[in-house]
Amino acid sequence: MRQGTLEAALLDVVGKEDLVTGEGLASYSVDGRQPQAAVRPASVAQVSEVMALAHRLGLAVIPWGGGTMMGVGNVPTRYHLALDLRRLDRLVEHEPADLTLTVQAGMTVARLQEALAPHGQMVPLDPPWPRQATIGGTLATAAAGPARCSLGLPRDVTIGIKVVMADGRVTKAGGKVVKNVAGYDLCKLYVGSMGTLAIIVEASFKLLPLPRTRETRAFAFPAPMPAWQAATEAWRRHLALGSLYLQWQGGPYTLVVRLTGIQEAVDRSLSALAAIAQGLGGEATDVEERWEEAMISPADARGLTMKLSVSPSRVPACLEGLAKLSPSLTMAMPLAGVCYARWPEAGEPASLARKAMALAEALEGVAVIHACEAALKEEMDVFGPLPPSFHIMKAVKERWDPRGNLSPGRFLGRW
Amino acid sequence: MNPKLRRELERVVGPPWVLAHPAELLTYEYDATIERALPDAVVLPGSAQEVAAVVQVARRFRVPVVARGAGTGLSGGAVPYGGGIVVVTSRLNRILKIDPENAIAVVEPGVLNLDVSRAAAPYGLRFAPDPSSQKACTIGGNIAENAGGPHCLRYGTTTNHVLALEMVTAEGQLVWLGSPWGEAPGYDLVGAVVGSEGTLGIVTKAVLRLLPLPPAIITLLAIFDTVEQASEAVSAIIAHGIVPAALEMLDRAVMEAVEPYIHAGYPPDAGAVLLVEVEGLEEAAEAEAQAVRGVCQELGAREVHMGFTPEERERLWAGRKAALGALGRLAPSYYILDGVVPRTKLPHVVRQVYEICQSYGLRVAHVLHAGDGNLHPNILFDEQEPGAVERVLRCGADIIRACVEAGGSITGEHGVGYEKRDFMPWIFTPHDLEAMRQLKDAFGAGDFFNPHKIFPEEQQETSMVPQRPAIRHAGPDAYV
Repeated sequence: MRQGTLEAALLDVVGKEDLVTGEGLASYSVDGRQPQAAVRPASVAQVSEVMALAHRLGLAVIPWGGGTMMGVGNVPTRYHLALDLRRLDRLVEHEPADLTLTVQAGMTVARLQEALAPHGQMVPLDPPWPRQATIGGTLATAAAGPARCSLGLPRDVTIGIKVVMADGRVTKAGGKVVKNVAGYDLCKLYVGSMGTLAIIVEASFKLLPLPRTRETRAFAFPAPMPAWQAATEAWRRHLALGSLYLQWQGGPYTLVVRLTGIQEAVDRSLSALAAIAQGLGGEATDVEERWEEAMISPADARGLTMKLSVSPSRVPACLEGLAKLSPSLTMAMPLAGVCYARWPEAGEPASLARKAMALAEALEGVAVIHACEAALKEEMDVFGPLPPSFHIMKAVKERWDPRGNLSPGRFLGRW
Repeated sequence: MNPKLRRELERVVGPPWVLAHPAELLTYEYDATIERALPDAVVLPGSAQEVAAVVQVARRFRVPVVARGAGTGLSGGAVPYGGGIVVVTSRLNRILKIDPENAIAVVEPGVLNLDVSRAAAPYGLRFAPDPSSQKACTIGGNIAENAGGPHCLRYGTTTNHVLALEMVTAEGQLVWLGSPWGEAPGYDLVGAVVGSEGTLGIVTKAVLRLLPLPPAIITLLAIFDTVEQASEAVSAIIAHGIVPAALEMLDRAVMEAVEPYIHAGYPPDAGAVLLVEVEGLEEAAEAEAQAVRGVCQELGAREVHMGFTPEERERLWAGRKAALGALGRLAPSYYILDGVVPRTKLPHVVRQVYEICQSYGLRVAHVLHAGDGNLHPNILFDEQEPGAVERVLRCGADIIRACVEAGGSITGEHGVGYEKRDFMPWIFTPHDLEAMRQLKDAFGAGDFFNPHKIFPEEQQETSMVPQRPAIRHAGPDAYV
């Protein structure tokens, strides 16, 4: 639509300082496409007004948090408006003794953790790049790092959610209590929906006590199998696992384990872990932790990052298969069956992506392109083959966003 | 029943597995609530394909379908209001796989909850959700209701332990949702289906996450003179950042009912007890147990017992899990409530529960998944007494209202079902409910699966009091 008309309409909703046009839009580009405008609403009511406007005018909207995960997804088919939620950064409600809280979507995960630390609490979220990653973005992408083994996934810890629907209506699901089965659990639907169903503006979480002790150890293994066995054994024996992953950048496979909890449990776990690792041929080592970079490199959109999901027991085979494709960096969460591999300078990214997809398929899993240059996305659906329940997902999308204004083209099947 | 429909159903599952004689149907007209509704037919399919074919037939004849597990539900979820075909999952009771390497179980919906843990135990694994009915209730029912249980305080409810589902849709198609490994791309449809009370489809297989059995379990019994002290101790434990595996509370009336019947080891002269369990690595469990003990003593516990033998522990839990059945000793009928409040509000709301009951002249026996803020007051009464039922229902509604006013919810684990449909607007706006209806539409379910559940209906038939289903005659087959 005409730039002047759009700007005038947006200025009815937000102040001039919260409307971005022109050069400022470069930082809101998605797969090389720039929107016509970006807005930075400061309240849920403003988000609602923006969405009502988008609904009326047929504007394609892509919600933004810290932007760390914006490389995930297909190329947008339309993109008029970037909806930057970072000014929605208020802690709405926190009664420490309840071990729950409600927070707006735009607060970064790191800032929330800092606000909770004086109370000896933490929010059980562990996305990569938490200083940039927002609560809303973490939920929308269901981002979970190596602490998933102790924290669970974003879906498991979100007890309530408030969203602005595609037409501007504000709705909520769940509540503020830790146990609740009133109505459909739409929180689950929004978590991981990648900005395609509604705009997440607020969420409530269960909290955890902040561990009193943390110790990190790394063990180098000559092959992925014993490293996987050590990880599984540590879990089976209830060691005080805070986080756990495997890192590979050529050479040995490094199992990185953070033990957390009370001192006695951490001490006991340290010795048990060392014994398990040694028994399987692992050697204590130092490590430069690079799991975030392996998952997603927001600062460097070049190259290719693949995410492979397989049965946990197939992780060693998956890592061996990946090694043959010579990524520069691989990280795996062995208990979950999730592996990330990164090729920063992929010469033939399409061929590599297809090989990684074939590898996953041979292991009865799936591979998706987690990040790559836009050119490759034009060639293939980054999410790979459609799942058998795709028709239901599509029906969900059609109900929630009948005009197709929310992140159009970005999700599975590019619809 | 339409003889044509009957013939079609018989063709699908075989004549022995279609029940249509009134005497046979009686068994399937109720669940663990008292309200009854007679199905038009009961079908017991033997495979997922048969479930799909039954759904196709029902669709063609425009007859609604209600899935049923063991019938232990507490919100009328399996009661076929308005008739229809009840699909019973009891023949779909195979554990298809225990995969210890990947810590998963693949089961059919009619498998009993406890049987999953029993089958996993030789591998050092278990299925964490442990509703009190776990010896009787089915995985299919657990999934429909997102069942909880004492130990979900630490480990989460059913929804946190289901990885993938095979489901029959309203079109009668079998479809897999989710993924048994890693992360499946796309919307989390498994998360949407778990807890949808049988309204979106019929689950025919489930991939469940298993967890390792803990090396150490320490059980504590903290004895308090008053309910106030006990509920303040619960709030304080949580406020200290201690999240035990289980944190249950029983009041005097419950113990009075349980003790003569189970001899569980509860002190019948106490005002309330906390039954607490901590588990994990020996050192962690020990430290947590000491911390719990410290908080309880600080808040005036008369005694805190630890060091139970496995047999004693078993009896304490048997007493807890049979609490509901034992209430029959106290009164001819009781009304089971299920509300949740933020945990700091527990002392306040627990006090309110007694006050509200007193104002109605009713006695209450209260058992709580206290650590979760999940209350189960049981209002004791005699149904034969004129006007009693209405009084009990008003009292129950007041209690749930108090939970909502404290920032809580109308149900923590029993489901909305038929019972609490009309309470939904207390916590959800018309827009919120509309979004939920959208999901039902997306599954193409309309009012085909389990109609009249969850959503408030405009036309309330005067003969049916909405919460009536949760009132039952006391019996040993009910669990809370």
